[in-house]
Amino acid sequence: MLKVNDLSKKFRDFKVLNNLNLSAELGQIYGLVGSNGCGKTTLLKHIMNIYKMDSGYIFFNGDAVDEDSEILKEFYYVQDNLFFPNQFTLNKLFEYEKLIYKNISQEKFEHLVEFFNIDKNKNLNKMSKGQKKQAAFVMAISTQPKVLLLDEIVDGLDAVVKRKFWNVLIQEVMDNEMVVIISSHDLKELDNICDKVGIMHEGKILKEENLEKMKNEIKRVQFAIEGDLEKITDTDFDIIKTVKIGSIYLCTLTGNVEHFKKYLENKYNVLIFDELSMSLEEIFITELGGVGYGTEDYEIK
Amino acid sequence: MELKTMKSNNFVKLLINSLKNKKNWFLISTVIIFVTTLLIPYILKSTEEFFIAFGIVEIFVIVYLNCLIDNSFLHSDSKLAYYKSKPISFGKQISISIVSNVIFTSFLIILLFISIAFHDASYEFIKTFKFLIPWLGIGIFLTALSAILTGNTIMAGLITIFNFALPALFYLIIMFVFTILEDIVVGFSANVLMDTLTNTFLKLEYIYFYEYIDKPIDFIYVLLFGSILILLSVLISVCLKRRKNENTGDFIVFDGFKYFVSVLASIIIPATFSMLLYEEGVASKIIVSILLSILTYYIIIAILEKSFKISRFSIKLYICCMAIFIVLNGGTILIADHFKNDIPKPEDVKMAYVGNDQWVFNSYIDSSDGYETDEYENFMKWARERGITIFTNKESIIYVTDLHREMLLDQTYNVGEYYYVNNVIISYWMNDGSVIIRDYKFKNDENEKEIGKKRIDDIANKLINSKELREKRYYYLYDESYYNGKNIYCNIRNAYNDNIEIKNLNFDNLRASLIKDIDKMLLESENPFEFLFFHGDFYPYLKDEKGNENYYIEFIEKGIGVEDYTIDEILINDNFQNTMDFLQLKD
Repeated sequence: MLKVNDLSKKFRDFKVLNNLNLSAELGQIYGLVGSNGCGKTTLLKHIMNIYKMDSGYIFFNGDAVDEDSEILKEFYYVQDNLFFPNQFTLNKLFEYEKLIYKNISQEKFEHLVEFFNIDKNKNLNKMSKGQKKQAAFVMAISTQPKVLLLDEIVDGLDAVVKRKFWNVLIQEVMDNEMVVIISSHDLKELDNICDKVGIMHEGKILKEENLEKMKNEIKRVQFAIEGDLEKITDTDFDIIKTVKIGSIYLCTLTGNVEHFKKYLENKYNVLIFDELSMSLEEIFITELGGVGYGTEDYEIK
Repeated sequence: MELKTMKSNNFVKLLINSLKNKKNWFLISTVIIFVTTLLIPYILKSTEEFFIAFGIVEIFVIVYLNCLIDNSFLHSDSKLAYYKSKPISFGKQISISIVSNVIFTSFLIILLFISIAFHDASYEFIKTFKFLIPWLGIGIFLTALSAILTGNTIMAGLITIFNFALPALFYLIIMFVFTILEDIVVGFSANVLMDTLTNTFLKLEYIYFYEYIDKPIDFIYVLLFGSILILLSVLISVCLKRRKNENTGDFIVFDGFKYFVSVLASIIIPATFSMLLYEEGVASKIIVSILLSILTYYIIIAILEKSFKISRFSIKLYICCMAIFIVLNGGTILIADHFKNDIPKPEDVKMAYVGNDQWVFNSYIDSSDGYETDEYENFMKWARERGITIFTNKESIIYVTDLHREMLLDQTYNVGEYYYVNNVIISYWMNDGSVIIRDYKFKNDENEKEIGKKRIDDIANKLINSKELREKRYYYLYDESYYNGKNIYCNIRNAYNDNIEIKNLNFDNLRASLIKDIDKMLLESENPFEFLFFHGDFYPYLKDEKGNENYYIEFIEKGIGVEDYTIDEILINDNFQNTMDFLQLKD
């Protein structure tokens, strides 16, 4: 298990990470989502020891991870803004990384190159953004890491390649029991493959939960009643947000939906009541809305 | 053990990989060096020296660029993240870069040696490698250190030059402190103080290895070179551990180093400027220096922080540093002020000198290596041949200390419209082997203090009329032991056109007339002090006031087994009546 405890970091006077806690299990895909500039990449760079933390701890399977840790050699980081050494082809990159990764697999590399249909003799810096992402991903999987950190990995990929990506990733996680942390703004993609999600805002993980459990905790209902809805006061559920569109109310809440339905039925004549499924994107918006992010309405003056 | 072997194997493999990646550099450099240092001079059949010197410059440029490129992975977020995320420490990556550049540089030097050997070029080129090799070696380490300190490759290049020049920059700052001291404390010379300091502590010639151009490589050379490389390795290791990678992209990654550069620049710029203004008054120099210092600091900080808004911390830091600088300056001045009125006791002085040469005792120190040997005789001969009078007689030394006392009281002395005297030097070689040098700036003030001038002239008069001065300045006339052992003849030349009027004149016949005239000249000298610091070497007026041409006598010693050589020249004019009559030069 990869655990981050009370990680804090200041960039000069700006607090980028603020007592951040995260835990990702082995054999799980962890989706790291968050507002723009919330510190997702910074967090990943701290896990890789690219940046030094001001305070806090990182553990892998109970052992502290620092710059000199042997286990760090089994971490692999694919950054958003990809870099490949000058004049390197994928083949040459593999030859170079073969010198430094002890678990690297030639067989896996060849298999993945074939699966993604990449020209391994083409200059990496002359490839398209999507091709570069594929090359970096192939390289990452070939090294068979224990911890794989993928920053915006599917950004710029077409739907077919994305599907290929997830197939490979899910297979590898199952086979190799590794920890995968994917940071992405593409919440719909993450919704389908993540086991656990951490929602980040202003240097903190606001919520970290198994995705299914998270979906069960936050619910959305739509209902119509006779008359206007008054302020709801009940302790069995917690209303996060209510929006009225025409005569239909859309309500996001935590707690027991049945209690809420009964509450409405006791006070009003309920014309319609439906429970809607929540997507990761909706949970994300709801959670960030809870801390006042993106709640402003745009008005034309 | 097994782990260690694995690690070293890994290092060698990575090093080979790094060298393989450099193959294009190897190729292009070989072509450049061979074409410019071997082929072109061969085709042109021209002097190969220029091309080999050019080859040396090429090696510096190629190595410098290579080092900067190899370490540039520290200057881009994505490059840095890529390499830092690999299971190979930054320390190892920097070491590989350094070792591969050392191999590359050695290869280039071998290429140049081949060219030198091919052309059978001067041995002088081989000698220069005694400092060029340390420069290149230190340069490779310095570029790595500068790359770690900075967040931008161009800045890394500039900081490499800055770091390389640091000892010289400190020299400049100390010189600045001494220049201020020279202006405030009478009798102290920045040059003399600096010379003492550089001979004792800041030996730039050793730090930059140029001392070894004409010297064989010794243990100090190896020790110094090794120590500098070890120091740089330690700094590289410490800075790598403390580097804030998140500051990549800034000009300088370390805040401390950023302020160090800014504060140093804010002292160096005014220091350089102030030293150019040596004729200005102390107050105006200090005001200009302060203004320049503030301006420089602001500009450097604004550039380094990429903001015109200067932080409060930067201002506080600057004020603190300047306060420390002022305190250090003040301390130096206070210490020097304590010694400014010290005049040695005549009985403690072995030799004394009055004149305009700050380094008159240097040849004695150099030749005797600090120990008194028979070099004393050689030194006296050296001084005599240059018309320099070194006083060793106790009575003369007492006169010199008296003169020194008067100099402390009054430094106004108008030497007239024809001569310009800037500094007057009084130096003592003490019995214990130490040297005291005092440098008094003369104010060529027409409103000189008459009483002060008279007192100075009175003492100078005693000195110039002393037997010792005559025997040392005009040794061929007054020193019987010299005169009896030498064969001297004279030529009389026209000062206007340099024509020889009388050739191979017998000196023995002329000597008596000259002694009479010089005795008279010294006795009746109106400005004996002038005579003292010019050693009687007045510039000849080509024609006198009436338009008559003047003459000078060339005294030539007949060489035994060597060529004849001129030992002195004396201008003769109307004051040399006995000599003129003897020579029948005028009606």
